[in-house]
Amino acid sequence: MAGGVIVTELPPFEPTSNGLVYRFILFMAGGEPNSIEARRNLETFCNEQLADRYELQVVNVFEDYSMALKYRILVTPCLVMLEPLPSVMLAGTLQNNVKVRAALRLNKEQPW
Amino acid sequence: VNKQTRQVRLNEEKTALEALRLQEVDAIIGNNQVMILRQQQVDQALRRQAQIIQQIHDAVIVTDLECKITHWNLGATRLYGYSALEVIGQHLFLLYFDEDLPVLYDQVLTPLQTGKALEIDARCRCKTGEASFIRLSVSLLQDEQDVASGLIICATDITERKQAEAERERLLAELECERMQLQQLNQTLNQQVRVQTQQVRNLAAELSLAENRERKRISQVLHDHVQQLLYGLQFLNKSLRLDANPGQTVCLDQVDDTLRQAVEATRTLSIELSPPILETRGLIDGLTWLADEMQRMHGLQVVLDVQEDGGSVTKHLQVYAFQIVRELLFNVVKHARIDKADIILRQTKDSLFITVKDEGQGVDVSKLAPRTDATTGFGLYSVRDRVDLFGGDMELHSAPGAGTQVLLTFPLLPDISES
Repeated sequence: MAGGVIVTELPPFEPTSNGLVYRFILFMAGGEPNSIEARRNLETFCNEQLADRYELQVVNVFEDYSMALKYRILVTPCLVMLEPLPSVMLAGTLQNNVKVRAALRLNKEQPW
Repeated sequence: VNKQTRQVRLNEEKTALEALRLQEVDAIIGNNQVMILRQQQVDQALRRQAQIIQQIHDAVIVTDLECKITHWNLGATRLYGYSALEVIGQHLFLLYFDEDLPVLYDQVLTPLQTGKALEIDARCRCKTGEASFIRLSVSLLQDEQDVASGLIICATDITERKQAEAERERLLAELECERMQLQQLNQTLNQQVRVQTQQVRNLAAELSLAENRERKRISQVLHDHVQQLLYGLQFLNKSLRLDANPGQTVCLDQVDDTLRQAVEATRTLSIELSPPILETRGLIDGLTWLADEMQRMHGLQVVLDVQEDGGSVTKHLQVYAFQIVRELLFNVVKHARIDKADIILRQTKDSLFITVKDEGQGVDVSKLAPRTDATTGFGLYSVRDRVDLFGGDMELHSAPGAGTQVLLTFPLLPDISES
């Protein structure tokens, strides 16, 4: 896979009729402050920017350590964008919207 | 593909390092464990707490067990004038006047050894050498094992509050002083008013006595002199009649008739001016005589109800009470449109009560204006004035169609004329 991210453990992706859907996994370290902040920032960002065009899976590394290893997660909090390809990894609290947009290639997004 | 993979790995490491640099990481994922990075949160919290303490408005000072200053915040700099550099390592007593130290030992340091925190108001010495008043809150600084390692001192500047309190005390003292002066003045004035009121009463009493003496004198002149002259004329008239012709006799009859009227008028005036019975037999017999006179002269039936229970009425008051009652009965004759009135007299050891009442047409009391007109000087308000002069009291109850009732109360005082 071009992004270098293993996705075999996730349920099969079902594209919507609109075609373009964002699939994320957010890796958190339990209730640690930065993780909580990252989750809050991500949900706000998605609701504002992506409306219902995204799917989010949240993984607590304390409960599912193997997932973190599978995705070669180095630190938490960490966001992995599985689709659209190529996949992308973004660590931190996701508080800088401009950086997040750039990393997720949302600036190049085609209107449909 | 390998190159692409390397680039992806590089990007992943980059984003992880960036997050670490920004302290946005909670944990690092190792091959067999998750390492939680809590220390930075602890550091952040400590830094924040330190900032809070540094910026708090009150002075916060920490010392070691030897009272050497180890921590000094901005509030302390504001209050004492020293910067942290100047005082860290110095003894706490730098901040106090030498003469206050024994008190501080007794009230702060000694009680602190029992481990309890305390608050006191104290005076401190600023860098300028000036004194400020502070509220000190002192407690022991203890480590995790509850072992005392120093003191935590929180000081609030209360200089303005103290000044305001002192000013308030001063104003209160001034007010109290003024109040006392006013009270004294008031007492003096009251005393003066009492003395002058008594003087006016005495004067009025003397005046009334003089008036009474004059009435008596005129009455005596009428009786002893004028009447005797008239009797002489009557006698002379009888003598003339012996030698008179019929024409002259008619004329002398007219003279005789006129002389009789003159004798009668002077006799009545003499008695009215000073009823001899009041002089010789006292108030109650005087009032009985007055009742008969009112019946005889004005057709007013007066019922007298008397009850005496000790006390004695002075001559002076007897005369006045008699004159006032006579005045009230004249009012009944003139205004009540009824031919019956009651006098009720009650005498106790120290008061004389007299009520004069009728069941006549009454008056609207609210419409009775004080009269200053000399021609009506013997009306109700003259009665009230005279009662006042005796230190007495007068109540008037009346309403249209409901009769009139006048209640007089006199204190029984020693007789001025007799003293």
